[in-house]
Amino acid sequence: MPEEKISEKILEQIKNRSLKPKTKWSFRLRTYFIWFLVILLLVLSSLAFGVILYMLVNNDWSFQQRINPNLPGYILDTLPIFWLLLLGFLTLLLYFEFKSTKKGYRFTLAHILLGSVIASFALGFIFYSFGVGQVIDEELNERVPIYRNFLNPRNQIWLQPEEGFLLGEITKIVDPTMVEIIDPLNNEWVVIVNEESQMMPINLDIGMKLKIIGEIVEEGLFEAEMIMPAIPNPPFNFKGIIKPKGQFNYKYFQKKNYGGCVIIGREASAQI
Amino acid sequence: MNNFLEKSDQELVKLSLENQENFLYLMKRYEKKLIYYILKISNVSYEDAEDLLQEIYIKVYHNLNDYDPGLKFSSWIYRIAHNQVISNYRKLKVRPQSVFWEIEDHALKNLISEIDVQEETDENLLRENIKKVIKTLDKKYRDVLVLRYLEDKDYKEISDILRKPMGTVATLLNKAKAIFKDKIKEQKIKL
Repeated sequence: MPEEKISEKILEQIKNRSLKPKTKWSFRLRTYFIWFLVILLLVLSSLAFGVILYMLVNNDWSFQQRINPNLPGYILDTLPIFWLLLLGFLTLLLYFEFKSTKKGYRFTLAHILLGSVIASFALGFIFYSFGVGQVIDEELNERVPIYRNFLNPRNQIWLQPEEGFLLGEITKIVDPTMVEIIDPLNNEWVVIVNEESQMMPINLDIGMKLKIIGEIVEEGLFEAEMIMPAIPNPPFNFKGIIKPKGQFNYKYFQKKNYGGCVIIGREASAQI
Repeated sequence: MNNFLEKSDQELVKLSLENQENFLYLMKRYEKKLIYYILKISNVSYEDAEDLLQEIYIKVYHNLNDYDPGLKFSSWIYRIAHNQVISNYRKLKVRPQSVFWEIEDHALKNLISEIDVQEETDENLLRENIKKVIKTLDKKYRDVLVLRYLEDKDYKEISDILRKPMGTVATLLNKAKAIFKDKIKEQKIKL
């Protein structure tokens, strides 16, 4: 049988130990902190999705046949695995954080995952549309060598000039048919743009990044077959909101010669 | 005193926050229920259950401002009790104990109708068997079975106490019933 006075004893203990209930504010702070983490994780996973979307849309599809004629193989080679893993990890953290909210336990794993995926896809699409995904990719490419060299599979493709794929930043425009660039490994190249070269209708300028398909004619000399900007514009370029570096008047690549390409440089300005 | 006995749990929570003496009425209201609940979901002795109850009540008092009136107070206090039993599980589970609780008549009726036990089964024997079988069940099945049939909680309350979605509670309960039924049949064969 239960001892009669147990509750009285406990009350005595509470009094003797001068125990007091924790303040309402301490609980509120904890609740706010959990929701802050939930929102933060949602924003981070949306940013990851924004980058994935940017990478998938701008995956050099026009060059796919030239880079790897096998489509599934090309998709595998260029899959943004780092971002997909990060998105998965953030979604998992989001699930556990949401579960720890006051009423989070009422939702099943499937409900929480579906909800967080839909929310991060929707928000991620907005980030992508405003060019945020592009800015993140570009900034990481520029500032984080591990990302540039190992985590971004697309960079690897364009670091093979001997295979005909060259990525570089314009350092000098010698004349309308000759441009000097520097690749991410700091090798200097002179690129020959001849009448056969296929090129987008773009304004070339010093500091602009290009992706070039062609072949090495001799050491340091690369003959261009196709030229395209390395950084496309985001789909909805709202002026003044986000302006990624090296923007182009982007138009879809057309497999025909462009005779009207305007080259504007600090040292040269001419029309092809 | 009588005036306090008529007050709802929510009112007593409010009064306890104003004056800690009033917390006594809340403790008294749940004292027996919680002691027997602890005994049902763990294999501890009565003395250990009392020690656990003391820790539970101190925790409840400490967290009184965290109680959300949108939740039944009984669900909230059972949740704290359940969590406290889990956190003391390692410390207490090693010692096999006798069973210190009884199955009430209405709980027995509920269980009999649910598990479809044959009519000729002796009721006293069945009562003893049920207690033995409950002790041998996996913790997750024992938890839902005890709350549903011995504590008479509905799915929503079980969901709030165990912090699991209602669908998960339903699945666990179905599985628990099936296992329980099998074990009861096994016991009957032995007898």
